[in-house]
Amino acid sequence: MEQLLDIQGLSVEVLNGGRYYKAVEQVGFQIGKGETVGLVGESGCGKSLTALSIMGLLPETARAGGRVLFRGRDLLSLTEEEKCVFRGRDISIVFQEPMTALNPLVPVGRQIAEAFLLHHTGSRAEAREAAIGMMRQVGLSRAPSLYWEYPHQLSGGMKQRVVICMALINRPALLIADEPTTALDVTIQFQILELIRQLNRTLSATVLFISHDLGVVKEVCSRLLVMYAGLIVEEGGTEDVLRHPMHPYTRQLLASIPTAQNRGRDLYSIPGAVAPLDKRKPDVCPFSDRCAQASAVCFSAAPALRGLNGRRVRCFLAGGEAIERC
Amino acid sequence: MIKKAGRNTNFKVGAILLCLFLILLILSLICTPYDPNKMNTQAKFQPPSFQHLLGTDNFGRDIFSRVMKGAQTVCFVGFTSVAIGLAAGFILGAVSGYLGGPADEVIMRLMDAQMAFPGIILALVLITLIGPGSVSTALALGVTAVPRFCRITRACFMQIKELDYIKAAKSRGASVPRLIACHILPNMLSPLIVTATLAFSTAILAEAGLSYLGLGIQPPQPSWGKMLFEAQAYLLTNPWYAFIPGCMITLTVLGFNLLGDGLRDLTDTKTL
Amino acid sequence: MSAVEPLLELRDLSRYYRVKSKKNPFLKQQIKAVDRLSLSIYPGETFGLVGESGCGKSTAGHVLAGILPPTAGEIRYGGKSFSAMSGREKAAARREIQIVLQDPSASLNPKRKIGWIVGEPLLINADYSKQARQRLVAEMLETVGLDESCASRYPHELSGGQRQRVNIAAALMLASKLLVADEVVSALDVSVQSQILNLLKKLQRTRQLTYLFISHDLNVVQYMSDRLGVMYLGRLVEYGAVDDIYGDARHPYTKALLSTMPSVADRGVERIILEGEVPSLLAPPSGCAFHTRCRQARDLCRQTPPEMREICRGHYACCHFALENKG
Repeated sequence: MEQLLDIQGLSVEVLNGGRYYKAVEQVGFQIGKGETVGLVGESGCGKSLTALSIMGLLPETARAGGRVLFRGRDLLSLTEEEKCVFRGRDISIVFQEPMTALNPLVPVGRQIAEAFLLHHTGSRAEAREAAIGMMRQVGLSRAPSLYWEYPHQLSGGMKQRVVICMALINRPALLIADEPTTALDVTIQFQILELIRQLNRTLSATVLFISHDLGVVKEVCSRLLVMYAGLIVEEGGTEDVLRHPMHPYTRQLLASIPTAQNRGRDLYSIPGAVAPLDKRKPDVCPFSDRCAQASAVCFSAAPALRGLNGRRVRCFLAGGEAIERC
Repeated sequence: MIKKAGRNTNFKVGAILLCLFLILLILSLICTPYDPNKMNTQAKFQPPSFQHLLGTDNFGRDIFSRVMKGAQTVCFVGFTSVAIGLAAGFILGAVSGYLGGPADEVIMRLMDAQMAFPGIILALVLITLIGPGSVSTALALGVTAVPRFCRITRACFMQIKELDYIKAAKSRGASVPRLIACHILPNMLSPLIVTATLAFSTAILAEAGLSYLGLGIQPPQPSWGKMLFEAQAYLLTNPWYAFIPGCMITLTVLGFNLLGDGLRDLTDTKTL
Repeated sequence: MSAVEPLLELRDLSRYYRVKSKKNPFLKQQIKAVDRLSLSIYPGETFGLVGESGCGKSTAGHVLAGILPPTAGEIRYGGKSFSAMSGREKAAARREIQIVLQDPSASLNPKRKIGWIVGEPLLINADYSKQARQRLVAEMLETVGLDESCASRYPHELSGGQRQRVNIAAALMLASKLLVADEVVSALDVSVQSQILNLLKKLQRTRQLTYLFISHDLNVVQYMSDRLGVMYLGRLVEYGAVDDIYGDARHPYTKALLSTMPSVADRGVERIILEGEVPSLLAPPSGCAFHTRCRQARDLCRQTPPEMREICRGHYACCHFALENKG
C-alpha cells in the first residue's frame, strides 16, 4: 500500500496562563492510500489538536513540533501560502457542526463551486457543473434546485452532506472527518456513515475519522488509534482492538459502554478523571493513576509504544498474564 | 477580579477620573472657597491665581467654587435621570421580555415611537411642558433614557429565561419574582451596570446641552453647561473661562465611558 | 404489573405551539410538539423514551416537570388527576416529580455557589433553618458522590460529570419520587457517562425512585430501562418491555432506529437505512406520519392514521401492519 501520510513524533503545546503545556505528545502513525483510520478518545485527549496540526489550522496559542509527512513533504515546515495551496486540494477537513461551517448568506451550491474555483481555473459554469456532479455523488438528489438554496433551508443532515461535498470537490487525497456525525440524529448519522463508507469504496477516498464514539468508528474504520491524555495508547485493526483490547484504558473504556449484555449490572467505571494539562507527569504511565492493574513499574517510568502481535500498545503489562484477568 | 481590574487600563483611568470627580463633589458639600453665587464687579475676568484658583467670571464669581457647586448639579441630574430610566426601563423590559406576546408588541412599539424622536428634542418638549429647572431636567432626561434600558432588559430576559437553569428552578417550584430576583437579575447585572454608566455620561452631556440652550438649570444655580454658554461671548478675550467647564464635562464623561467599557470587559468574561 | 397502580398516567397529553407562519407573518401556525401521548409509569421502574430530535420527547418531559403547561390531556399522579387536585396536593405532587436537564453547564446558575443551588429547592418549598439546610445539602452532596467542600464552589470550577451530579442532587432534595432524566448523559464522555448511570441505578435502589429516562442514545436506554416508548413526530409509535422492543420491534420506524444504532458489539441484523429526513412538524404527512420514509408504505398508510394495536401483553405498536411485521 502506498503511504500517504506519515506522522512522526508529533507534539502540540498549548499556551495556558503564560506557559506552554504538552497536550499532544509523541504521536506517530501512518495512513496508507485508500485506508479508513479511526482516531478515538475522550474530550481533551488531543485528537482534534492532532487533526488541526495536520491541516495547519492550530490556533495561535498552540504550536506543533515533530514531522507530518504528506507524500514525503513535511507539512509543518510549509509557509502560510504553501499551506493554502495544499489545504482543500490535498487534505480537507469536515467539522462537527454543519451549521457553523457554512456561510448563511451564500447559496450552498455557490459555496461548493467557490471551493472548486479555489484550486481550479475554469469558468463559473464549469464550477457549477462540477458542484452539481459532486452534490449528486454525496446523495443530494435534487442537486440543481438545491444549488440555489441557503443553508437555513436545509436540514442538519443535508447541511453535513453539503459540507462533505465542499471538502471533496477538489478530490483531496485525504479527508479528515472530525466528529462529523456527533450533532446528528441516529438515522441521519447512519446515512452519513454510509456515505463515507461508499465514498471510500467508489472514490477510494482516504479517511481519518475522529470520534469519541467507538460504536461509530467501528462502522467506518478498518484501523483504530486510541488516544489518552495526548498519547496514542493503542493501535490495531478495529475488530481486533474492540474484541481483544490490549491497553487497560481501551479495555476499561469498552467495559463502561452500556450494552444489552451488561443490563441489570453496574457498568464498569474508570475511577478518577483525566489529569488536567498542568498536572500531567511525563515520567510515569499516563494512565497509572486510574489503572486497576497498575504495578510498581507503571509508576517508575513512562512506557513506550511497542509492537505486539502486529499491533502497537503503550503499556508495560500488555501481553502479560496480569492484564488478561480484567 | 481585583487583580484583573488592576490590569484593565480603561477601568483604571475611568476610576481615577471619577474619584477626582467624587472628591470635588464631597468637598463642595463641606465648603467652597467662595460663595459660588456672590458677585464682585471689581474682580471680573481675573485669570487663574492663588486667590482665585481658576479665575473669575463675567460677574466676578469664583469659577472654582462654581465648578464645585456645578458638580452637585451634574450628580443630581445624572443619578436621578439614570434612576428614573433604569426603574421604568427595567420594569417595562422585564414585562416585555418575560411575557412576550401582545404585551411585548405594545411596549416595544411604544419604545420605537419614543426612539423615533431625537433624545434632546424630546427632552426639550418635556421641559417646555413642565417648565425648566434641575428636577424637570432630570425627569426629562430620565424619560429619554427609558427605551435604552427597556431594550437591554428585554433582550437579557428573553435570552436568560430560555436557559436550562431557569427551567430547572421553575420545575422546583420557584415563583416568578424569585426567578427574576435570584436567577435572572444576577446574570444580567453586568450589561445593566454598563448601560447605566454610559447613560450617566449621556445625561451629563444632555444636561450641559439643555443648560446651554437656557432650558435646563436656571441661574443663579451653577451648571457646567450654563457656564460654557455664558463663557461663549468671551471666548477670544478670556479663553480659560470656557476652557474650564468644557474640560470638566469632557473629563467626567470620559471617566464614565471608560469605567463603563472597563466594567464590561471585566464582568463579561466567562460565565461558565 | 397490572395489579400495581401506576405512579403516573398520561392520557392524551398534548402540547401545541403557535408559531408565525413563514409565508404570512400575520398568520399563526400550530405545531403539535406532543400529540395525544398516553402512557403509564409504574412505581420503581425506569421508562425510557427515545426518538430523534424534534420528536417531542423532551417537551413531554418538560410538561411533566411543570416547566410547560399542557395544551390538552390529563396527567394523573398517584391515581389522581392533576386537574382534580387542590392547590396544596398539586404542589406536593409537583415536588415529587423532578427533572434533571441535559446540559450540565447550562442548567446551573453561573452566579450561584453549588451549596446555594442544591439548597434552593428547600428554600422555596420548606422552612428550614440555615444550619439545617446546610446539613441537608452536605448529606445530599455526599449521596451523589461529591465532596462536601463543593458547596462553596461555583459551577464553572467543576467538571461536566460533577455538574451533572449537582443537578441530580438538587432534583432529589425534595424527596422526589419520579425523576425525569432528560438526556442526562448525552453531553458526557463515555467514562463519565458510566459513572452517572451507575449513580442513577444506585439512587433508584436506595431511594425507590421511578425514572422517566429520555434519551436519543439507544444503547443507554436499553441499559437503563425496564420499559420503553418510541416517539416519532410528536406521537408515540411503539411501547412495551425493553426485551420485547429490542427483540421483536413491530413498527418499521423502531426497526430502522434499532438497526442503525451504532454499537461496539457485533450484531447480525440487517441494516435498514431510512431515506430522507424527519418531515417538518409544520406540515406533518397525512395518514401515518411515518409513511414518507417507510419502505412498507401502502395507500392505506397515506390515507388513514393507524391505531395503537396490542402485539402481546404490554407491547403496543401504532402501525397498520404491526401484527404482520414479525421478526
